[in-house]
Amino acid sequence: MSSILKLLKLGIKRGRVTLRYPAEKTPTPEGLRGRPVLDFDACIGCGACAKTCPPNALTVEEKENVWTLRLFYGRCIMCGLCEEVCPVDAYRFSEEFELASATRRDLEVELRLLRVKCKGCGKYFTTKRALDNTVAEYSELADGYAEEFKDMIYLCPDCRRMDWSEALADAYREARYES
Amino acid sequence: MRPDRGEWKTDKNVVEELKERFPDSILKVSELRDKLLLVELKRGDLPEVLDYAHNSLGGQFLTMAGTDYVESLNRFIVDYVLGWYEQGTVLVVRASVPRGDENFPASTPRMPVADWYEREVKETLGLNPVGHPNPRKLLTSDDWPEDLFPMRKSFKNETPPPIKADARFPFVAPENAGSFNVVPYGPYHFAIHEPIYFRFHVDGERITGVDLRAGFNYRGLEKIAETRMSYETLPFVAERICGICGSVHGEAYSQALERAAGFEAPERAKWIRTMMLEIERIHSHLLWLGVATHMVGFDSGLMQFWRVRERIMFLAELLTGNRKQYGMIVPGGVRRDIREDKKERALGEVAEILVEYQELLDAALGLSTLRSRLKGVGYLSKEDAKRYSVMGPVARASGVDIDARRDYPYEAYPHFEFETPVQTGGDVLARTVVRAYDTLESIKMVKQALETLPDGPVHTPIDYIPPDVTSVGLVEGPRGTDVHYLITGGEDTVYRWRVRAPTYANLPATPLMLIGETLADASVVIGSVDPCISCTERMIVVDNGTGKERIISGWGPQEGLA
Amino acid sequence: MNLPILALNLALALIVAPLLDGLRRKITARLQNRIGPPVTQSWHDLLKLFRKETVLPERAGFLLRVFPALMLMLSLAMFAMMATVTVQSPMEEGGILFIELAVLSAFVLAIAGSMSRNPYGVVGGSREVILATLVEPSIIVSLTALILFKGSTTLDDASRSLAVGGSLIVAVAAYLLSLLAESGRVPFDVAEAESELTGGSMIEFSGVPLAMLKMGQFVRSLALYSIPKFFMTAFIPVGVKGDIFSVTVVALYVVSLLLCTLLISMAESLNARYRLLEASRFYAIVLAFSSLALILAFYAPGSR
Repeated sequence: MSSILKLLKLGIKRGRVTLRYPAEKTPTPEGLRGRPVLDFDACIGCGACAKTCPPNALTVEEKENVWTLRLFYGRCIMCGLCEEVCPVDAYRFSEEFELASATRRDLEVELRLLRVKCKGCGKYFTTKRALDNTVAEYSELADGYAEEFKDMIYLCPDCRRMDWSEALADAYREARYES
Repeated sequence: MRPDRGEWKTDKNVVEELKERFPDSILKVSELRDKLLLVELKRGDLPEVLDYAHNSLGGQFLTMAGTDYVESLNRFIVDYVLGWYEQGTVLVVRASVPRGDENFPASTPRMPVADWYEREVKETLGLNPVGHPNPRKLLTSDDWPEDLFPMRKSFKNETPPPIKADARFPFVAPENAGSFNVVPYGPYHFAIHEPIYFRFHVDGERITGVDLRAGFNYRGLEKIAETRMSYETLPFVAERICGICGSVHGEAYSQALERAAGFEAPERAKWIRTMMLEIERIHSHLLWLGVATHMVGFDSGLMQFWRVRERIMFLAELLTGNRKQYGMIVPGGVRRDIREDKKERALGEVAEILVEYQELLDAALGLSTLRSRLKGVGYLSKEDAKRYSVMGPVARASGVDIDARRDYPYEAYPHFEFETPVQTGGDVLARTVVRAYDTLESIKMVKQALETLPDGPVHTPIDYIPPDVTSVGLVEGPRGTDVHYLITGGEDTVYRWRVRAPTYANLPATPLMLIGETLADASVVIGSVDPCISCTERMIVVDNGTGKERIISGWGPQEGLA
Repeated sequence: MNLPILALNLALALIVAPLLDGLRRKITARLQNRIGPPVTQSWHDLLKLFRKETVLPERAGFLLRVFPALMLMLSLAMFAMMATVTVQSPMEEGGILFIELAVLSAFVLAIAGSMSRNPYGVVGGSREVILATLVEPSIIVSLTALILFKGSTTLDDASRSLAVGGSLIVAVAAYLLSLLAESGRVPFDVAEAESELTGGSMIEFSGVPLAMLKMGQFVRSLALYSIPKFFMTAFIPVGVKGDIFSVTVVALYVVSLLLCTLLISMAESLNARYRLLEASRFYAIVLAFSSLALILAFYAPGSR
């Protein structure tokens, strides 16, 4: 009998703990992992996020001169790996978790960037933004080598390899002549 | 803290004992890591050696895995993993199965606990356990072809299986069940958490036999891990094996991988990991207490226990950003640090939770109508508990004192003070008491973890993970010891990953508890095992001990409590 | 047969019965620290059921459609036998018939369950039959005691001076206990144990038949909750035959309903479910108590 009284007391003492949602919302702590928000202006189109995303919520499509990143929140597990790997901090976690929707399109985000052609072979190989980003960073880093190798930036990886091999072969031939 | 169990009678270690007894059978012995030993045998000697190790030397059966090495080594291997809690040793017993002659002698006749594992190996790899008393399908769906083996490397992940609309599972009526009524429990049932199908054979109200069909939750996660995931992304999959005990899986995987790499996580990371594991234990037990009381009609118990549980969920959200699936434990450490102000707040919350929980426990467990429903139901003897290598609160309620936190110390546990409650009642009430006190200890441990949190980094990247290393991770989850067995691969992912959730070990013992009970008590008894079908079914689980059926379906909180 | 009063009673039954169930849910919720559903929730649930399709098992036959309607009709018929908010009752000498209807409607549910051919329905039905057999006698006995106290089989409030005192209190207590026992709610919902039996005898009903079955249950409960009012009007003179309305009667009626609802809610939220054996023991005690009340009623001065 005393247990019954104790339970009764609990029922009264602890008040009501449920809320009149959605008028009253549950207090959420800071740092809640809601949906990650992509900053469209910051993204350079490197594709690291899509490579690392475990459930493949982020996918990249490369077609002609357009590079498309698709983020489908329906698959997102809010793990935060995209935020971790992004080199330009384009992802920020918001605290929005109320993402239910009746249409799939509400949960799809698409970002399209222009790609550039390789100066050597003419194939599309990277996005313009990635290229600009590399140029900007390169000039800071490449102290002393800037002029000679700056042109390499505008080549696709295949052409770069060709270029390097030729340069290496030239250097070898020169060395042989000299000796 | 380790009590004297009087089990282990000699000073020699396990391998020495085996070598003495079977000098000709043992081909090779190696020490993989500290206290993790590997013994290789000819496959013909498996049943005898395992029988001795498990039944005479008192080892707990931890897991069994089969791996496909056909491309590189032209054979398969089967590994049986046994553990001795008293010593903290893990032994892997390995045998090779050549390609073309894909069978091995079954150990189930002498060691019933190996039943499911051997069936699983047969079904997913095509290695036939000769002499197995019940080689029915375990995991794959009814219409999956018998000769298509998903876990072989030659089977591509994307292969669509053929569909056969009229396939049916061959249910077996137990011998002594008679021709009584059949009551189906599942796969859709009001009271089931997850889909699983039990068939009760009842005589009036009394259950005389059970047959089980599981596998509705088979997701092929182990295959995904081998093909599509990397070491870095695997913990996210591991965490999602189960909605209740996710961290346990993340931790077991990280532990296995770190052990393979010979790596130790930084101190602060260890403390945070321990804290997350204990928080998970608390929330899982509170969930169970609520659900168990709901099962016996005491809905207020459900509401009250879950009210306290909400506070723990908030604590988890505060520390990790999410109520479940924390995304915290990864190889190398943890992903988030804990700021000072959050730590202070967490300490405040924990203190309040302790008060509320004790108050509720006092009120709820004293209720005579509740106690009378739980007492004397679903009895499991100590001998049966040991024979089936039952784990966790189910074992501890039957007097078997095993606890991986104390016996295979990992993370920060060696630095914490905690008790492991053990009861001898063996019934549902004993399990309830064990879980109730487990929770209390966990709350105190979270407090200890927060108070003694050391400084330092929370994550250091693992430099190098050597390929082809066999490793085992053991974690004491809310339901018992979770075992992750893995073999590292060469391309930034695992070669083989085998998850053995504790429910996989506990469910086979359930028929023993059920036969003879009434239908009314069936739910509670199944519930008292605290089955996590998703964990069990990351592969399928089918349980069929020795031709006796199993009953019970999961149970769960019900919507619309009108 | 007083038709206007009958119409009033039926309207009242139909409108108030689900509201009372909603109130029960609200009280239970508050005891569990929840806001709970609004009091009109049971109405919403019934109306929703009206919009749903009816799916019945193939082998069930048309009888399965008949039973819910039967249940509802029997329950509503109970309201023809007694006075609710009026002093007069629609029908004279309705007391015995009232008791018979109460018991019959309890068994209808059990039989309906067995007819569904669903193993859970059958088990639920058989449990329900066992329980009804044990519990209904208490209802019969305590209601008979009431009739003896009133000295007439008409369930109205025309006052007669009744013997007040211990015997009446015993009778009220016996009735309330019987009500609790046969309510089919925790701790006595063995037959419908949702988490164990998925609803027991109601398992195969859906759509409009289910709505009628539930409504039948609500109406029957309302009828039974109305009875304590008659015990109360024993103390308080409310009028003579011929009067129609009386404020006191209305007030006492409301009190009677609220008292019973509160009792059921509290029992529901503060107990676990009894097993069949334990429930049977409780029923035996209640029956003994009711029998005591009957004996006292028989010998109380002023009765008959």
